[in-house]
Amino acid sequence: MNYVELLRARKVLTVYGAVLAAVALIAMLSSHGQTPHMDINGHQTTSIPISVLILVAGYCAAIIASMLGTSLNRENGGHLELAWTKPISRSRYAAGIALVDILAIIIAMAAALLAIVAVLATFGLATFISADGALAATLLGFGVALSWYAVSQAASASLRSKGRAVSGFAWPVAFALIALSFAPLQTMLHEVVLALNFLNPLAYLSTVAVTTNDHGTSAASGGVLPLTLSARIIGVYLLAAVGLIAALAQWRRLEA
Amino acid sequence: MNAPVIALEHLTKRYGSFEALSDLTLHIEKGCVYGLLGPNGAGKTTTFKCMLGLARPTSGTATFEGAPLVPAAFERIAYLPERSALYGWMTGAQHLELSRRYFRSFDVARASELLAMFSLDPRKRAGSLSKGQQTALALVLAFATRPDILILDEPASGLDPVHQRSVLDLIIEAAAGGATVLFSSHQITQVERAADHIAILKQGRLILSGEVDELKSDEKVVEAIFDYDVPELNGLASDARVRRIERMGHMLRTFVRTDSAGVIRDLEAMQPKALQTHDLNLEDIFLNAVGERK
Repeated sequence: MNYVELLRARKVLTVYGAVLAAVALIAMLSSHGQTPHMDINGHQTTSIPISVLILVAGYCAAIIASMLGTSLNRENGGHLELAWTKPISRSRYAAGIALVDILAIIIAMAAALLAIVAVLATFGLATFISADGALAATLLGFGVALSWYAVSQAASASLRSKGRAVSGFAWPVAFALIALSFAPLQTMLHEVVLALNFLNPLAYLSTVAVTTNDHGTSAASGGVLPLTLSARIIGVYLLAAVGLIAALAQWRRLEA
Repeated sequence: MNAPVIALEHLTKRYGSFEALSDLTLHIEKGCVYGLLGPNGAGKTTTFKCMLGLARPTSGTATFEGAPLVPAAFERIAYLPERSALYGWMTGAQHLELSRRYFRSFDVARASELLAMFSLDPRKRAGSLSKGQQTALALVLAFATRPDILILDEPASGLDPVHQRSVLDLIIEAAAGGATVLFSSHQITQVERAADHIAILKQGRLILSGEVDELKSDEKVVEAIFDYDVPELNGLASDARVRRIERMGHMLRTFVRTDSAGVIRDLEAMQPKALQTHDLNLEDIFLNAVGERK
C-alpha cells in the first residue's frame, strides 16, 4: 500500500467521517419525541428497501472517490522525482495508490450506510428496512463510486496541475448531462447526450429503483441509460476498468 | 581502467525544436566524485532526468553497471532533485517513514544522525521548512539509504555555509566508502573541493570533461608583477604557446598552453619585480571553457 496515499486518504476520511457524524447527530437529535411513521407519496409503506439506502451511500462514496480521484495528478504536481525513484515500477506505485483509494471508497460507503441506518434507528424505522436488492445495489453503488474515481483519474492523470478543478467541474457536468438526457432535444443531439452519458458514472445510478420480485430477482427501473440492471452493473465496472487503464497509461508516460 | 558505473552514450533530449541535451557521452567510474558544471540552462538537470528515466531521451542510452536502469536499481541509487519534490503537507518523520517502507537499506540510526547534523525537527511539515531545510531533508532521505550511487542536483542549494560544508563532507565520506557520486553545483569552490572529475556543459553540449588535477595542470598561469606599467609584450599575445593574456595594472597574467618554461624565460627578459607560476584553478577552467571570461 502506498504510504503517501494512506496518509492522504486518512485525512480525507477524517473530514468525511466528521461531516457524516455531524449530519447523523443532527438528524438523531431532531428525532426526539417522534413516533415511527412511514408515508411515502401519500401511501403507507411497510418497508424501506435497503437498496435505496445503499445507493445513497454509493453517492456519498462517489464524493470521496471524487476527492481521491486526482491522486495521480497530485503526484504529478512536483513529486514525481520522489515517487519514481523508488525501487518499484511506476505501475506498482500507481496500483498501491489505487488500492488505498479504493479501500477508502469502500470505507466511505460503509460508513455512510451505517450512518443512514443509525439515523433511521433513532427514528424507530430500522425494523422497516428490508433486504430487497441489497447485492445488486451494493454492486451498482460501489461501481458508480469506483467508476467516478477511475474517470477522475483518467481526466486528470496527465495534467501538471488543475486536478482539483477537474474534480470539482466533473459534478456539474455529470448532472448537466443527466438533465440534458431528459430535455426535449433533437434526435441526433439526444443520441450524443446519451453517448456521453455512457461515460458519466452518475448516469448509471440516476433514478434507479432496484426492486426484487417474488422470485428473488433484482431489477432496475427508470434511468438515463437504456440498460437493464445487470447491464448497468457490468457497464459501470467496464467504465471503471477503462478509466483506470487510461489513467495508468497516461501517468506512466509522463516526464518529471 | 574500471568499468563505468554510469555510462551515458550519445544522450540527446529535445523539447520540440529546443535541444536541451545534445549527444552527451560520459563515463563515470566507481568511487568517482564527478562534478557537473554549466551555466543555467546548460542541460545539467536534463542529464540527470534522462539518465534516471524521469524524462525520455530523444536518443542515446544511459546504463548503470552495464545494464539499463530498472526500478529495482533504485535500491542502490539516491537522487536529490534540484527542486524540492517533498510533500509539503507531510512531516519530516513521515518522509523518513516513506523511505523506510520502500528501501530495504534504509538506516534509521543514520537518518537520525543526519537530522541532527542538519538541525532538522522531524515533526515539522516539509511545507513549513525553508528552502535550505527542505534541501537538507531531501539530503537526509538520500544519504539514509547508504546508496552506492548518488546523483545530486545542486545539493547545497539554499544551505548556510556550515551545512554546505557538511554536504561536501558527506559526499567525500560517501566516495571514501566506495560510493559513486555525480553532482551539479553553481558553486565552483564546492566542486573543486569535492570532485575528482568534472564535466562542463554549455547549451546542452559537453565542452570539457576530465580529471580535475589533469585539467588544472594542462595549462599554467604565469603571473608577472612589474614596478611600472606592463611593458610591450613583443608578440607574446599572439604566441602559439599562449592562450590568453590578462593585464591588471602592474600585473600580467599569461595563460600558457605549452612550454611554460620558455614563456617564463621570455617574461624574465622583461625584468618583472616578481614572477610566479601556478596551475589553473577550477574557476579559470570553467570560465575558459564556457567562454565567459571578459
